[in-house]
Amino acid sequence: MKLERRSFLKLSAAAVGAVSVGGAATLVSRAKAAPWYTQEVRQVFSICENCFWRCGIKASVVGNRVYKVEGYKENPKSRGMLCPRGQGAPAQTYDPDRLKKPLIRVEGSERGAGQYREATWEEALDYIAKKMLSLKEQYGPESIAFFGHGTGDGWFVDFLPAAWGSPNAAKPSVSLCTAPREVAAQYTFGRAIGGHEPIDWPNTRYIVLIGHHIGEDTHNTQLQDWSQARKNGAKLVVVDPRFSTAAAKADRWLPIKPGTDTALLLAWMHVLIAENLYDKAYVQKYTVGFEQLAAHVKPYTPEWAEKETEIPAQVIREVAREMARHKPKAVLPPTRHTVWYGNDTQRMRALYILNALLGNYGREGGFYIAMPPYLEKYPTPPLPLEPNAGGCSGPAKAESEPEGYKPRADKGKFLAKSTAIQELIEPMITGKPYPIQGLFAYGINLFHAIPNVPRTKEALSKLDLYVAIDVLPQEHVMWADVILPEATYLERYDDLVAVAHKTPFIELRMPAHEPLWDTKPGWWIAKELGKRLGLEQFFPWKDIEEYLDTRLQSVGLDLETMKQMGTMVQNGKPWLTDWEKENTLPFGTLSGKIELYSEALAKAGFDPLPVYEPPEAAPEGFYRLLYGRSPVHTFARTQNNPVLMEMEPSNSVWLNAEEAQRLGFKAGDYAYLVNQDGVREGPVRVKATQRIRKDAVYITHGFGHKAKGMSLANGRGASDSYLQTRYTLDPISGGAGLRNNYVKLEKAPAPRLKSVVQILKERRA
Amino acid sequence: MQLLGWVTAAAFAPPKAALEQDLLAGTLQAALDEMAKTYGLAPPKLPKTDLRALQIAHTSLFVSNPAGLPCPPYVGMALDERLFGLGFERLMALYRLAGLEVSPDWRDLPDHLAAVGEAIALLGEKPELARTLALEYLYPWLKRYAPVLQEADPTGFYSSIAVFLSKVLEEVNGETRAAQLP
Repeated sequence: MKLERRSFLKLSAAAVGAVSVGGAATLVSRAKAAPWYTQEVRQVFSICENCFWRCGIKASVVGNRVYKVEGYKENPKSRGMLCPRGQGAPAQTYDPDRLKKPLIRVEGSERGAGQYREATWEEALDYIAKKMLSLKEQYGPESIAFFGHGTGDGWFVDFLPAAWGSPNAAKPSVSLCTAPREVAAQYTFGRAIGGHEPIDWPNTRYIVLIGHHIGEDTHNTQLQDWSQARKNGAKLVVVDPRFSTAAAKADRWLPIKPGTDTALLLAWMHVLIAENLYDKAYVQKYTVGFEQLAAHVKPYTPEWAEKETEIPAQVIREVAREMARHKPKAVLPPTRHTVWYGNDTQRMRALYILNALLGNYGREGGFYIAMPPYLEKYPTPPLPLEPNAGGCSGPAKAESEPEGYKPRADKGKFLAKSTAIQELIEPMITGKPYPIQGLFAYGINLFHAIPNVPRTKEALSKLDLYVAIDVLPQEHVMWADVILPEATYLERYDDLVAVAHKTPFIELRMPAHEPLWDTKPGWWIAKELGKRLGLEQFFPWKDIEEYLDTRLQSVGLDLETMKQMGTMVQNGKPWLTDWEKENTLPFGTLSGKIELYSEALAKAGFDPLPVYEPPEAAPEGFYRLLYGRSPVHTFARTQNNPVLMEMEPSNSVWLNAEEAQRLGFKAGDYAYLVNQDGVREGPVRVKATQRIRKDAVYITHGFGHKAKGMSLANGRGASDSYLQTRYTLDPISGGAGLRNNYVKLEKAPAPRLKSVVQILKERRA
Repeated sequence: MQLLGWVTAAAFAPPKAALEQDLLAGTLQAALDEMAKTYGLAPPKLPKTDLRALQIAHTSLFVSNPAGLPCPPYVGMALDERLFGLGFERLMALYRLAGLEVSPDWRDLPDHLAAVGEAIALLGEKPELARTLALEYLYPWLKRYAPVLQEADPTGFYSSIAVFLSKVLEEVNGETRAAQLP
């Protein structure tokens, strides 16, 4: 009898003939390991992935373990500091729940039933390629959609779909987040706002935040700068139906009726113009359409706005006058998540126009003009399509399709040129305007990002091919036909990150150690798949190091030098005066100026000036569902992270204290949230508080996971996304307005879950 | 102890052609029978299961399962309730002491059951060290997860082997304790 020899381990030469080690073995087995910092520690530059601020980090590494990460001073995103999310992020790499090996759904099993078998990478990639080529043959390349989110998404939503020939590539960060803000910025300034919001915080003297949850959507240096602004004496006004973290720091809190922000903005414009308080010289020099604007806002008095917003007219006047006193160092920063009620591009236009009246765009204490760093692409043959997934930088330029290629499946539903991810779900069900039969989901949580989860599930069940590339076994991942486990941010290179900024810069992510388990980096997956799809010509580089080195050569660097630097900073042109020295202006609009009145919108059949539309009323007995961020979690990505879950293990529902009393809820009671379509979430703890208006409730986004394979996240709190069964499409940006969802509260028992703290205590025992 | 190591490595590694060969040739069953004889136990009767069913079961028990992974196959999970804890560090120190290195082809953690099993087998000439590995690392995992496998294993293959190995190590543990008595 002889068993087949396995070979997972090998004996080193040193061990041959070694003396008996029995006694020593017992000692070793009971010894404590030496602290990591007494061992040989390597320092590796990388980029944090626990939110999308993308802070430059330095990782302290021993062997195959990162023990500590910190920011470094030379990186403009971290400046030597890191938030809790960044500090806790390495725990994800060592999460026992991680996806570890490629998996293929068992043939004949139902999608969503979760029956899988292990596969080799070759087998998994061959399987995908065969299916893709078959779908292309039958329906055309556009029948496969590509969704992605994260630093590595470029391979899967930009490069691969463009090489493959599908225009249906999308990111949630566009139509479920920034689309209205970016599209409005394009129509007003002819420039993007971009992922690093270009506010000159340290020099501003007066800040008005509208629905901007700074301090909750903690972006590292933004928070540093905002704190500095306050330290420097800047006044702060917070407009929010909820007494947010920022409101708690404010000089004034204006508890606005939800959905009436445009009314307030129009009234402020009215005061600035009626009382001659706007920056006349700036408006004359840099804008067009002032006369039309003045006529347009004339009826929107503070008294009119008071009826809409429930903010006293006198307060509206006072704030407008205070803004004017501090101009141009008074600013209303645009927030990121701007898909609220479906008329959001117009609201964002109103915000920008108001900023322009204060004369702050391109001037100190207002908006600086962010420039991307110079960096060449890797030279490849021209891609069949222009990458068009968009992202935080707004709509891409390409609109017409090359001959032989179909337009995006969402084209014609709205004006902007960017793709709306939620509008690509319907074609998967109806086959209209043409069938989408395949889907790649890279790093996006389909059920915690895209509204109307039942519709998404129906769409997934109809696909011929669904591939998930991820790190954790999230709900939607376990529906896939093929699951490809990606290496985490600490285990991989990604493409260079080029950040538009006051001082444009390029930052590098490099692996701190080899990928654990049988996981692979995204670039490798894309290249290997490309090879199998006959797209080798678009992946001419040998490996990622050659790719990065070639790109860095274009800015006079090489990869080895960049590995020692982490970040390369370039010069920018942040102020209008910098541009004027070169006899130019930064505005990319048709007129070359800031367009208060938009001729382009008028020509397209939309209001050329922002028009207020009252929000839809909540059904009787329901509260408007508001949602926001936690400073220690990011989206639905971090709820399995033990470090962060110890700090915040669940969300709670904020309910006005008087309403709580009326409904018989005490602080600490649990409730189910039931929406207008009967969808139930929770149980979730009730936070009875004076800090929210009576007509709305609030929960933080990202909780309420239903993936049992995520042992910490599963079943904790309530999901706002599952409750968002409706959305209102913004006809200009394609954004999905999510705040027209309503919930009522029903009493619920406390969940029977072991506390996170107890679980972690047991892990540490 | 060497045979116990090989059986552990053969049974808990990702099921591929080698396991299929062991099953077809009856070598795994024979190894179990021999161990049973040595320790005076009733041998388990391995169920007749094809490779595909074993692959599906192995994945759902040890790799990924939407309903929650019932048996993470790492001895550190039984020792520390987490990966890369103190138990893992100690195991690595033991490997180093024994001159064991992880093969570059092994795309899993070094405290995976199959790797620990192989380590026990490779240390045939260092029985005390092999016994330490078996009793202080493999046995806690089996004690904790053999009952879980009895509930969750759709094939009966993994559960019958885990329960049997657990009984063997109970015997070994008893012998070791008896030998240590004054």
